[in-house]
Amino acid sequence: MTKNLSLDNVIGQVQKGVSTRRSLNHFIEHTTFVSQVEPKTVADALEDSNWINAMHEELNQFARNEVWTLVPELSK
Amino acid sequence: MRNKARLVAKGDNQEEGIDFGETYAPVAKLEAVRLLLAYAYMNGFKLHQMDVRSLFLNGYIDEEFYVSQPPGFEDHKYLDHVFKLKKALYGLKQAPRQWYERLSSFLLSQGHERGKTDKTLFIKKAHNQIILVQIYVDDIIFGSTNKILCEQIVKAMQGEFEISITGELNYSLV
Repeated sequence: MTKNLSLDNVIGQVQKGVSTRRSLNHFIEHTTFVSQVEPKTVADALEDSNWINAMHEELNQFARNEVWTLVPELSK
Repeated sequence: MRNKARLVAKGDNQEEGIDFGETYAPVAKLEAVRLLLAYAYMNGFKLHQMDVRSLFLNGYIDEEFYVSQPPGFEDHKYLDHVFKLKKALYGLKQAPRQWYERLSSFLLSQGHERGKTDKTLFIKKAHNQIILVQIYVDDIIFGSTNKILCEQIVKAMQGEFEISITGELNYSLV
């Protein structure tokens, strides 16, 4: 195997040197890995493609059940 | 794990007398379900269940409702338009009642009789056979001494509503 890999293949910083498992102890033990972030607002949810998909699914139900029709707003 | 979105109306904006009248909807008591279990066991038949998808979107409404287009999903050609509702929406005060109304009138049209005490139990008798249909909001539990009666109700329900699962009763509801 050749060791002539291009620098693009290096993940992380080249200058950083070697990280041992022991040196990462602190990071692993004191960090919470959040896998699911629940959006608090519609604006938040619209940032996430998974939530957009879920919203599309819900709105498809509206179309299938003929829940509503789009009409011009009545003048106030 | 799957994301699930639900579009709801802000029911707290509704005014009584203008936007809603009656809101009461009967719900089966757990005791009624237990009685049904006992009855089915004594008569040696199995209970099945089905589940109606987006049930509240199935109820018709008597009042006139307009909702704004959901943020992020506006029709850019008709930004000044609003949606006029034909059916109930989750969050509307009358949604559960309108669903009960729709389902019960459908079952009555299928020849079922509404229970005299339990208004969520629908019974049909024919040729010494019986079919019982218990509605528990979106879960429908049913069983019959006759397989054909069971198949009939599943087919009729599938023709009228969108049924997502149907099978033997296997999980507790409450």
